[in-house]
Amino acid sequence: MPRYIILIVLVFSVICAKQILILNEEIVVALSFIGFVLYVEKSFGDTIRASLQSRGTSILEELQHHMTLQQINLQSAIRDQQFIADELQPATEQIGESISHEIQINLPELYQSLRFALGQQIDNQLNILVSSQKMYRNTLQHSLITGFKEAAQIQYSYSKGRKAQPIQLKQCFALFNRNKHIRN
Amino acid sequence: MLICSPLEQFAIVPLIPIWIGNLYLSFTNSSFFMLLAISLALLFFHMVTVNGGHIVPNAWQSVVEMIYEFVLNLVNEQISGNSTKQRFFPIIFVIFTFLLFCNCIGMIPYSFTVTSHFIVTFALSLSIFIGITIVGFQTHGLHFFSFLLPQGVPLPLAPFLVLLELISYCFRALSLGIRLFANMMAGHSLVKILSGFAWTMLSMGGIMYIASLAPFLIVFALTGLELGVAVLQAYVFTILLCIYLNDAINLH
Repeated sequence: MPRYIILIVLVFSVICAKQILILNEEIVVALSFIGFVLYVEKSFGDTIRASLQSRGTSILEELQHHMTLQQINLQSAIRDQQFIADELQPATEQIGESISHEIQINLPELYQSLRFALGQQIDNQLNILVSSQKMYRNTLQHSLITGFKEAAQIQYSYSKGRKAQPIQLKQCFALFNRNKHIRN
Repeated sequence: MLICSPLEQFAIVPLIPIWIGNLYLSFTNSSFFMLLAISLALLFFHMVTVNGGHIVPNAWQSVVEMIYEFVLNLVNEQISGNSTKQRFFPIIFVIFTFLLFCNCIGMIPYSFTVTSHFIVTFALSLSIFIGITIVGFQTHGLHFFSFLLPQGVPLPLAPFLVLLELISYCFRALSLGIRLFANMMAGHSLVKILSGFAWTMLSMGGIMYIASLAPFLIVFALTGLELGVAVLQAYVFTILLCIYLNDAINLH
């Protein structure tokens, strides 16, 4: 502390000597201002500091109170959940046991009925496939006949050698009927 | 022994002269201290609220929060209606903070009080007055003129009362600026005059050397008073601003 006072006095002396600080009535204002600030700091500094800190402390207490309430609420919610779980556990166990017992008893019958149902489903699907195969085959045959007749008619209408046509046409019909018999 | 005039402290000193044609725009000591006040305010708020501040505030953060809550309560109490008043909170807060910092920096010896010049306070009050009038016309349209005729006035008195109310309304801009300027200038002048007495008595020597303690103690007490006036005048300016704004938004 004495070191700082000596330093301040020295700096003040240098500043006054170099006329950076002119000694006039403003120095009285400066001294009174510094004195007032020091006086307030000494007299009311602790009070002001305490009031500012108390504001922070009250906020901290309010936050802690809020957190404690939240903690209590969560703990009671956990306890309620635990109670419900404890109550439900034997009931769920009983339900599980009865279901497994039922399954055990009815398993062979269930197997048979499942097999029968699956077999029926497969038979139905196969029947559908067979009938659709027949239908597509008939459609194909009909299309082939129709196309061949049209092609033959066109050939008969536009060709020059009319005498050769009935022979060629008969040969084509014979070939077509032979193919038809093979398919059937 | 050179005795300085107590009005010398209000002299405008150009620090950086700037000429734009015939226009003389210079960076003066008034501009410097305005800039200093704004910079200090911004720096203070920034340093306190770095990373959003602390949930449990320290002393400095408490000061900032108290200033904020103070202005917020002022706005909520003085301006009625829920939807519109929060729009004006930022500008009211900025005006209060600016005036507070300018007045407090002016209290420091060897500095300059920005608000001790009428041009500064009048420019602020006039611009606010024009803004409030625009807000009034935006909110109520031509019905805003009904503010000049109070309710329950007899019809024969209406012309005189409207004229009086108009003059009173226009004078708000002047009074707002003059109040702040006069308080600051008078306070600083008084402190300078009394300190001049103390210095003169100190310079005389002898019994006057001891008697100079009396004006020094008066200056000491007056410094405290002036600090209180500095804070109070910022508050008075702000509360009157809120009242005028309430009149414009809600009429009677």
